[in-house]
Formats: sequence, C-alpha cells, structure tokens
Amino acid sequence: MSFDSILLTIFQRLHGERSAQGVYHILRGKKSGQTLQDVEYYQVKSYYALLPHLTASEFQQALERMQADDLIYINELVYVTAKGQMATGSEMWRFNGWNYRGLEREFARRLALLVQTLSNLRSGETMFMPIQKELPTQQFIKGFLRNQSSSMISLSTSLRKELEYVFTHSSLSDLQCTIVSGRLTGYKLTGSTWEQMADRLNMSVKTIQLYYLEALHMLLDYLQHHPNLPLLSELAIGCRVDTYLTQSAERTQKLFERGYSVEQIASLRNLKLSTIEDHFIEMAANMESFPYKEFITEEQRDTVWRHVEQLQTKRLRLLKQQCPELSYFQLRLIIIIGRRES
Amino acid sequence: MELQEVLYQKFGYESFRPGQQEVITELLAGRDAVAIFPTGMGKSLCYQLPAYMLDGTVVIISPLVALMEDQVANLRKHKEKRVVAINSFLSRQEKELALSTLAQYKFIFLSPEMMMQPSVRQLVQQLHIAFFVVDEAHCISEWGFDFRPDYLRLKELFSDIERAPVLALTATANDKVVEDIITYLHMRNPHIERQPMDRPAISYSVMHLNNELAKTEWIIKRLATTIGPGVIYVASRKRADELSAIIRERGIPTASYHGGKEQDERSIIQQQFVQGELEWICATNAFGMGIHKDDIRQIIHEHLPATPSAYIQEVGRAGRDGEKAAATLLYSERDIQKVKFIVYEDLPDEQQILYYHSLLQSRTPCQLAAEQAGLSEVASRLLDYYLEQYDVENVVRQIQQIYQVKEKQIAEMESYVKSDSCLREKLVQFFGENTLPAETDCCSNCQNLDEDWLIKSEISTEREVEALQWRDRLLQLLG
Repeated sequence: MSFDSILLTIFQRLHGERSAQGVYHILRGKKSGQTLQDVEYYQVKSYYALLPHLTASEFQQALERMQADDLIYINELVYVTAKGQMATGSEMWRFNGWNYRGLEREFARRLALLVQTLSNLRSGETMFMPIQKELPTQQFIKGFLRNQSSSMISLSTSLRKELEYVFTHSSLSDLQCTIVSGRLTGYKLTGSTWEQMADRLNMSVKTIQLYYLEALHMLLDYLQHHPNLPLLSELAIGCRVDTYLTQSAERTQKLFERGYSVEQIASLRNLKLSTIEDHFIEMAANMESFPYKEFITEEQRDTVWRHVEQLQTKRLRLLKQQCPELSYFQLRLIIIIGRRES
Repeated sequence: MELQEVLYQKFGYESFRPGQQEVITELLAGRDAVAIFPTGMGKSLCYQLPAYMLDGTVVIISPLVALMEDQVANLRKHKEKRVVAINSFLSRQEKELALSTLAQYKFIFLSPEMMMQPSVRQLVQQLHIAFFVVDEAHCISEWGFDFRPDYLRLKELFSDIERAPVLALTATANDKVVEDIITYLHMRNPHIERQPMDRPAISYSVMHLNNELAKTEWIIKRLATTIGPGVIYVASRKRADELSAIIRERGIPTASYHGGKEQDERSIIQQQFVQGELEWICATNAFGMGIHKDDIRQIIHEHLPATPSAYIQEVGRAGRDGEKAAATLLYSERDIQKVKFIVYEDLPDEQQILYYHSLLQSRTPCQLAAEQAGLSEVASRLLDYYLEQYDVENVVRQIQQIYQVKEKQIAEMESYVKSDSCLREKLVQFFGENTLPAETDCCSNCQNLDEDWLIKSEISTEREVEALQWRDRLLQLLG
C-alpha cells in the first residue's frame, strides 16, 4: 500500500469530475458542504479526514510525481490514465476515516501510555518519563487506572490478552500486528521509530504509517461491535465521531424538526438560502430517516438516476440540462440519497 | 527541618552543588536573587527546595512551553502532584479548570503571555505567594541571545512595593544582561550567584575543513572510531534527517531529532537515547531541553552556532556525570556567511520597518502587512512589540542596536573558530570570566588532548537488536 495508490483510488472514483484540491480537502477532512457532498457522491467516505495533517506541499509533490509517472493528468480536473488504472491495484483498504477523523490517534496515544504505565508498574518501577506528553491523554489514563479494582499485575496480563485477541480477530495482517506492537514502549523496551521500522521491514515510512493507520481503524471497528474486551473498549471511548453534522447544520436540523421550512430557517438564522440547503444535504447524507420526500418525488428520483447512468456522470451542470425543471438543490438531494432500491 | 535534611528526603541528594545553598538561603530570608548557573548544574533545585520550606505557592514564569512541560514532568516524577502548567496549549476548558482551582497548587507554571492576561493576573495576585521565579531570565534583555519581546511585558509585574521575592534564573548572562534583568524585573538589591561557565570535564576542539563534504567524511570517520553517546548539532531539519540516514547506513544506531517530527516520534527517540539504544542523535537546536542523560561523551557541531551562549549551552549537555567529554566544532570558510544569513533574516531593515509601519497606519491587517513588507514571523512579532512602545524612528534605532548585538555575537564566534590561543579561555571570556588553560585535555589549541579514552574498544559494535515477534513483544511488555 502506498500513498500514491490511495490517491489513485480516490482519483478514479472522482475521475474527471473534481479538481485535485477537492481530493486534498477530502483527505484533510474539510467540513464544507462541498467536501461532505463529494465524499457521499463518490463513495469515498472511508478516506475522509484520513490525513488531517497532510500538508499542501506533500500533496503537491505527490501530484507532480504521479503526473511525471504518467499515472494521472490534470486539466483543471484530475483524470486517471490507463497506466494509472493498472497501477491502482485491487487491494481493498479497510480505512474508516469517516468515523474516526483523526481521533484514532488519541486511541493510539492512550494505548501507548497505558502499556508503558502497566509495563513499568508490574516491574516495580514507579518512576518513568511518560511517553505521551499531552495532558488530556495523561488525565484519561490516570482516571482509567483509578477506576480499576484489580491489581496492576493482573490488569497488565488482561490487557495483553485483550490485545492478542483483538489482533488475531480483527483480521489485522501479521505485518500490522508487528507495526502496532512495535510502536509500544514499556519497561526496558522502547518502541521503534518509523525509520527503524522502515529499515527493518524494508518498506517506506509512509507505507508503514498507512498500514498503521488502517490497523487502528480496523481495531476500533472491531471494538465497536465486540464489547467483550472491556479494557480496550474503554480506551476507545470518545474516539469515534458521534455527531456527523457540523454545528451549524445541527442548528438547522433542530429548526427543521420544529416544522420550519428551508426559506424560514434561512431568514430566521439570517443565513443565505444556499447555506441552509447545504445543511439539508449534510443531513440527508448522515441521517437514515431524512424525509427527502418533502422535496422530491420518486418519479423525479428515477428520472435523474436514469440520466446519471446514461451519461455516466454525476456532474450537476450536465444533469440540470436534462432536467431543467429540477433545482440544483433537488438534484443534489437525489444524488445524495442514491437510487431507489429495485 | 534543616536544609540538608529536605535535600535528602525530597530529592535524594547528599549535598548541594556549588551555589545552590547560597541562593536558597537568600530566598528563605525573603530577598531577591539572580542565579546564573551553567546548563545542567542544578538551577531548578534553587526554587524546588525552598518551595517545601515556605508556605504558599511558587509562581514560575517560563518562556518556552517545552521547557515548562519538562519541569512539570520532572516535579511529577518526584511525586509532586500539586503542579500545573498554564500555557496556550491548554484548551479553554482545561485552562478554566486550572484557573478555578489555582489555590490548590504548590507550583504554578505560566507563560509570559498568560501571566499578563488581566484575568489570570488578578487570580494570581489573590494567591498567597511564597516567591516568584523567572526562568530563562536572559530572554528579557535585548542583549541576551534569544531576546523575547513577550518577556518585556513582565516589566510591570514586579513594581509593587509589597510583593513576594523574585528569583531570576539563567544559564548565561554577562554583566550587561544581568543589569537588564535587575532593572526590568524591579529587583531590589538582589544577591547575584554566578557559577563559573567553564566545565573542566569538557575538552574543546575546532576543526577546519574545506567544505560540507569534508565535514560529512570527518563525521563518518569519527563515529566509526570513537565512542558515543553523542549529539551532532546541524543547521536544519533537512540536514538532520540526511546526516542521520548517512550514519545509520554505516550501522551506527542514530536518529534525527527536530521540531518537525511528531511528538510520539520525539518521545521514542529521547527514550531510546536515554536508554542507550541510540548512540547518536543528529539534531537541530530543538534538542536538549528535557533530555536527562548524564553520560553524553561527545558534542559535535556541524554548523556554526550564532552566539557563544548557544554554543556553550549545547556543549554543556555533555559530561554531566563529571566524566570526560569532548566538544568539537567543525568549521569551513562559508559558515560565517551562512549563519549571518539565518540571523539577519529575522531582523527587519530600516526600509522594511518604515514600510510595515506605513501599512499599519493605513489600517492594513498585521499579517498582510508583514507579508507585504517581507517580514518573517519572528520579525513581525518583534516589530509589533516595539511599535507599541516607541515611535517609528526609535524602533529603527532599537532594531539597529539588536543588529549590532547579533553582529558582535557572530564576530565572537568567528574569533573563536579562528583563534590560535586557548579555546577554553576564549569561550568563557565572552561571558566576562577568566580561567586558565587546563593542564591536560584542554583544547585543540593547547595541543594537550589525549583522546585515548574516546577510542572505541571493539571495532564491531553492531548490536543487532533482535526484532521480537509481536506476541513475544506484548508478552515481554505486559507479562
């Protein structure tokens, strides 16, 4: 797995319909209506906010490299070449960026500090420099340990058993088990730097970091559905996004629930109509029970999707030409909620 | 309790290091003090110990967040729970929580900008304060080597007639800087405790090499034949990564360290270095604070530090266990130009100042104005401070003065690398001190270096760290 192949995967889904900047926003997890709509339209939610710290220059470098290698070409929009399609590969990523959005790193920090603490305490060492400097993480682990009733030694063993269990049951690859365990520090055993792992495993740092990230998502996904691992489940608390709506969209939603129309909400909140429409798109994307039928009919939905298939595009301008009677808002809504189950 | 008793019970030391007792006695008597101790010679104890002998809170103002975090971690390590750091890295909630429970802490660390926030200041003034500490006090002086305008804002803080004693701490300060510290902090006839800058355990060398390539070759050869643990200071992050990769290829456990690395990575590297798993660190000047390692045997500078203070601080990290250590500075002709470029980049010239000022006058937003005037972030912060205090002509004059200070410091470094007399003597003279050349192991100019102790005993020291299977690793960590 490489950064390039992730980019290629995303570019392929957005083939010729979005600029490179759009993909950058997706990877960084920008909370704009456009980006949120894009991840939904093109089914790249799992890559959303995957790399919150990706810098513009890193991204730019990757683009230039891929252009030079003739994997993509950019003409305002990004196109994947035939060579690029070949290079994308068929590996299935198991990222879940949408649900974690960088919070998986907090889980990793907690795990690292807990392992270091238990490892030292069980060896009788009560003085050590914490490997995690962030105050919230330290406070979390302090609180965590205060709430445990068993001895540090048995706690330590239980944690080891849980880790072993989750490593083997969440379909992590052997490589990923090595990477995740290799980052852990404890009594007289320090974790490895990315470079050291790269040397040992003969892979690039970036690739190892991506495997690590994917492993964290897989572990957290597993913990989400298997509450039988009490210690790890507690470490995962709050590491999953619980409200998918932006704050502003949440306020719009509340007003909508109280029976206000789109126009009324816009004037009540003193916001532009298009902003409120963005909120509705966000709501449609995130709520299973969004009452879309208040805005479109099933016939309209079928018609638009027929055009999507025919034209092989989800670009609104082209669809609008086919269905001039529908507003852009209606078109976006139809794309967001998807085609009707046949 | 007797001083000695507290020293042993709280800190586990049998005796004081030179100067500590004098400073502590002054503070306990309610008098101000300035303590100038070389790096690693026990500055922190000067406030930690008396804190336990006096009622009330100790308020420590510290300019660098990293430094603050380190001090806090250190106190916590010694089982002190009543300690809090309030800086801009706290979230609003954390900050509010800390402020609402301020009275329960024994040690409160504050950044200067936090201290000067009226709400914070008011809360602090309501506390029963044992004494104040101003850490890295040299930052308050324009003559100091890393002047911080933020620090000057502290001026107003200590002017009250009835205030708790103030302890100013610094590792380097010549008389001029000490004078500034005393004036700006409104210190009253303070006791000045100055410990000699010279560290007898360290020997000094300057190597003249033709170019960067020659330096790299010298380092490779040196590391193959002499012992670590050691630190190589380089000019940039990029170079730290590059050089560390070159050395690693030779089978010597090495890592790079700089501010561009994520926190987790930096923690792991520090830990590995302290534990002896890494032999060498290639670092920018970000490395040093918070590293508690007594047995560093070598410091190599691949670039020319901009000031004697910076150099002596970085070198001072070696040999804290009192055993021999070697400091080597690699110099090639163009280094002076390079360091000048870096230093002057952050200093605006007259034209820039006037242009920036006129942009601000026409209500251009600060950031935009800075950009248009081609100012670096450091430069614009500096100007913002001065423009608040003085009219623009005076600002120009002030900046010119700083320029002259920097120029002088670089000239001092130049005279150090080009000197043919004793390097030890030369270096401490910059701080207004005198010392005699050491009888043995003094410096490359005294030509009495016996470096046998530095030679690696075995040629192949390749310690292949057995990569554990993941199950075994978890078992070894957690049992």
